Amino acid sequence: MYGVQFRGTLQPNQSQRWFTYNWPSNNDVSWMVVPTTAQAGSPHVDFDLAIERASNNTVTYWLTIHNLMGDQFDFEARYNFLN
Amino acid sequence: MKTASGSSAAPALSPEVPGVKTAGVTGKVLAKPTGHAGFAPGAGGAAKFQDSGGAVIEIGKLQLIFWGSAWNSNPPPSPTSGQVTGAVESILHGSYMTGLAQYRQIGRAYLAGSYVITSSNPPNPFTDSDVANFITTQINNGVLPGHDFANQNLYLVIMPKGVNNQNSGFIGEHTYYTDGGGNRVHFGWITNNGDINAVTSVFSHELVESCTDPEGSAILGVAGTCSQGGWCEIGDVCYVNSVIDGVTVQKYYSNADSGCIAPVYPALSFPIHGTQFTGTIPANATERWFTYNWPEIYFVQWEVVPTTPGGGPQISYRVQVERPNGAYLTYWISITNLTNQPVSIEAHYTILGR
Repeated sequence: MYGVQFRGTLQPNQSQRWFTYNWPSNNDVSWMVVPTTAQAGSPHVDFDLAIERASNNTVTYWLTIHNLMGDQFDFEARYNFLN
Repeated sequence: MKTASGSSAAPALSPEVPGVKTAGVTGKVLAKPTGHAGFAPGAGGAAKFQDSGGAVIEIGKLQLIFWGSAWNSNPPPSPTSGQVTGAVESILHGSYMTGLAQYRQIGRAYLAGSYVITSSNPPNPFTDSDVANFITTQINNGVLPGHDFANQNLYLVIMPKGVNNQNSGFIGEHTYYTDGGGNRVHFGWITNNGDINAVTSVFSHELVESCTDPEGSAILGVAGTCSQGGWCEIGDVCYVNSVIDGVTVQKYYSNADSGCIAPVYPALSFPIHGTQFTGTIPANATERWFTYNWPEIYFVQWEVVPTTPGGGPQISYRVQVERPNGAYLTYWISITNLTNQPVSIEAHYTILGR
């Protein structure tokens, strides 16, 4: 079962970066950003993922999330362990 | 694991993946995903509930409120606010609300906030106006979030044990009021007899009815469907409990099933892998596809692979997500050919889980 790590709101055409830390480095994690405001017609969101090795045993994920629309919207960042 | 928001340090969208728009078309229409949607409707009958076109809550932002000092008493009450919150999170994250997709593609709500408010106590008995005034006060004091830009907030108040409505026999209700800015505030209340199963049963009833009919103007029973007065809603013909993921919920009416349901996820073995589409990208070109009606409950990964042999990097791709309604997602996939030769591709999906 996937989890939701954080939720947020982006203003029109805004990009914002989040980081989430202390993730065990022996876990492979997949990320997905899903809008929680419904609006039809065009893509709402995409994101870039960067990874930092914060210590021997932990990593930090940096997610830069982009609002592709001219309207405000809410989103949630979902994660899933691959192993 | 902890999360924090950093400054917006990164540039906007990468300019090298602008996507392609052709006249009048913003993408290539692809087949709906098949074989893993899992919510095929049952045999049809005359619909008991019809859409009157009024407001619904497509993706509810639940503000869960525990009103009164009794919630912080010592010894703690049973159930505790934490126990109720945990059960509510299970209801929201699980399969319970997925049957609402048939009603204007309403999706699952999520828990936006949980609050124990002890600065006042509910009168006993209480009225709808008491609850509305309490919510208004808490919004004005900054304790509760106010009007949401998409008006998806749903304020549900859990009463302390033994605090009852002035209408004898009423154990839960939802309705709305109009605030000073002209916004309709959707709220409800749930009484508490000390049994968490009873609390979550009533909560689930008010939850699905609030989302499908927050103002008495949307998903309503046809004449003769309900025997009671007031708004005739999908929970009002299904006073039967079920248990999902260990939490008691109340069933609700499904036109698609011609009966009362508490949906459970079909048994599936994850990951589920497949090829969603194939195509050919002209030399040095970018093309964009979209694929729609993917249930939002699924965690989906995409990978695009060339099927034309090459001697170096051939393609790059970017996935964008649209939420056209509460229940489904559309994926937009822009694929760039990095070579000066046409490249054939396959777009693979992997559903990791739900």
